[in-house]
Amino acid sequence: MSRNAQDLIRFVLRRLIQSLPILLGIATINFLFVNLAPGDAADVLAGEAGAASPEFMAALRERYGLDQPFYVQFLVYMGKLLTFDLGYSFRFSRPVTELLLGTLGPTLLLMSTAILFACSMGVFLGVLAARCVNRWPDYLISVGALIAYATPVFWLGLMMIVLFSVKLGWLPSSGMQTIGAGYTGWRKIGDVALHLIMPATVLGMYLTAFQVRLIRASMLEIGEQDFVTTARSKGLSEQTIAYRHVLRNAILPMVTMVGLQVGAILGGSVLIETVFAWPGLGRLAYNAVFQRDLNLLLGLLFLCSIMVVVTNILTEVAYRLIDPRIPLK
Amino acid sequence: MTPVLSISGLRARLRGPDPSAFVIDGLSLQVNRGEVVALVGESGSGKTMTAYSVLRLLPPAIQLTEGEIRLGGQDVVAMETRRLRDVRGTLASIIFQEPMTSLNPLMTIERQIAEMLLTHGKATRQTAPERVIELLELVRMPDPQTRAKQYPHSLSGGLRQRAMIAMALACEPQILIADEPTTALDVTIQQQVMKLLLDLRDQLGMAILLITHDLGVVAEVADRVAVMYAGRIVEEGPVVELLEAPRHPYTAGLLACLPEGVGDTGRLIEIPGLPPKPGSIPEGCRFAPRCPSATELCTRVTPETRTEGVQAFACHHPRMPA
Ligand SMILES: Nc1ncnc2c1ncn2[C@@H]1O[C@H](COP(=O)(O)OP(=O)(O)OP(=O)(O)O)[C@@H](O)[C@H]1O
Ligand code: SF4
Ligand SMILES: [Mg+2]
Repeated sequence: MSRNAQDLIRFVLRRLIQSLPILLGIATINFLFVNLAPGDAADVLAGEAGAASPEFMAALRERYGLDQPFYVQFLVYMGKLLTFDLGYSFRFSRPVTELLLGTLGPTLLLMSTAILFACSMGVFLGVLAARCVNRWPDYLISVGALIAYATPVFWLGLMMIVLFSVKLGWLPSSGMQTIGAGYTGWRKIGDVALHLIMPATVLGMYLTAFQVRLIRASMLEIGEQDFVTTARSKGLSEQTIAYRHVLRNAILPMVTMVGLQVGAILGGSVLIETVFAWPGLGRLAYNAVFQRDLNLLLGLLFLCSIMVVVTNILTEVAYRLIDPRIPLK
Repeated sequence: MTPVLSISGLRARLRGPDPSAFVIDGLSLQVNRGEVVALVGESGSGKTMTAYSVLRLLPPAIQLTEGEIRLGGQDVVAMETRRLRDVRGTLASIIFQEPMTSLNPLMTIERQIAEMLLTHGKATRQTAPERVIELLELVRMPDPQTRAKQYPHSLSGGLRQRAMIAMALACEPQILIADEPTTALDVTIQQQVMKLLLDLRDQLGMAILLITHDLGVVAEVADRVAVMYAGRIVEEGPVVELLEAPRHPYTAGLLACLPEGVGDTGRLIEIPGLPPKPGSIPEGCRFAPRCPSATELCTRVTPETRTEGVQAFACHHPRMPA
């Protein structure tokens, strides 16, 4: 076991080192794109201030190094990046790193809940559909998945707010905590969980639909393999066969899919966090774009690329832990 | 003494619009205690489906419509699911042609064998690992301690088939159904595995229903042979008599296909023509379109099975006895 653990740690480290060039490449592209857009931070600040004298503009540019040649700005940016100094957000008047760290937690909570929800529902409903194939539970689940698949996320979010918050008053419509309630301990956890239900459900809806269909198809395919007949010939119950033998094999594509879909979920959380006023990265990104907060935007993009890289490593690890055929190399 | 396995009048058909698409069509067969019975026939004749039906493992596309299957005197067809699960693995076990795909790739060998023991209460979680090693030693698995902890992909085909056999024998069944257990293996490994099966038969006293293409193997290991054609047994008898003096033209045809007579590892190569597909089985004798001795009678009347001496066969114009 300790040997396996060692292999695992070595594998993760190797993958992390391998992804460094990728991350730097992405940072370069981000920098180029953001700076290709006309105008710089000084223009934005000055524009907001109403009138701005050329002297004021020049002073601003000098202060933030915007008067330097492009490649110097780039090298300075990359140099700071390596020390996790992502610059200063003029909008929020705070360092970008601080802003990001403050909002990362809520987004991670939202995303992981959504993914967990999608995977567990995917397994539960997918297995159910596969075991009742071509009978009414299967049709019901498949049609439901199709509808969920096709429903626009923001519309669903708004409708849920109308129903569960406005009409029924069961769930809070926005935010992560009841403002001013000052809960602590379990009360606080319960309060956050209550706020989490709607945004996580809506965010995970698309992925859930996807996973249900994937697991169903994968269960049916694996169910025809020889080792399932072997399992049946051993006298196992259909339930045991489905969960112990078929599902374990059928779950592998789901793991891969989660890795591939994390980017999309991250994108979706921009929308969801805005709809539900969730204090996370997504809402920050929305503000950064509309307020042309370039440093913040660059920092967000960089953080997102780190998150995607890390989840990909995590899915690889999960895959390898489930499937012994693929060595930790 | 009741036979271990007795099948009579078994019929199974493909589900679908064609009610006459029989895959097994009136098959009767008996296996006695400790006996090795070989079931031979061309590809598609229904050997595997016969084996599957014994433990009610037929794929969903195939439906058992008629007939009786008794394992140790108990009616398998009418058996309720709960009881059927008890019977699987304890009265009869089955091993398959493809050792590569018949084991779950995500479970260790130990777990898969232990699962058989635990399901039938033949071991506890504490005693199972030890019993698994004993079983692996029984099938002469080299280095059983290490192998037990490994996953199927780290074992060669021959070793996987040994693991399959260990699993099948874990609950000491009265009959082992082996569906082409060596076809997928190298020739030398084939002989080792066949020898292992025979030794185990002697040691444990179980019966074996051996499904095979390989008449060479049949000559070496079987006590009795049943020849299957298009879902039906066309000839049956003790191995020596049947191979020396086949009465049914189909059996004779199979034997004629062997390169150097019996004894080599000859495969069934070819009798001119193709066996009929389920649903397009001709009137009268189903072998008639390919039979050198066919007459007008053969195309009209289905031959009944009759017994002469030690052999039983279904033919209007049988070949001369020895
Ligand atoms: N899963 C299935 N679904 C539908 N038809 C099947 C299925 N499996 C087998 N059959 C059909 O049943 C018939 C008998 O097949 P079976 O596998 O029993 O033949 P076999 O004698 O074992 O042949 P082989 O020597 O190739 O293994 C064939 O016509 C085959 O096409
Ligand atoms: S009954 Fe006729 S056709 Fe059929 S095997 Fe005998 S001789 Fe050939
Ligand atoms: Mg077969």
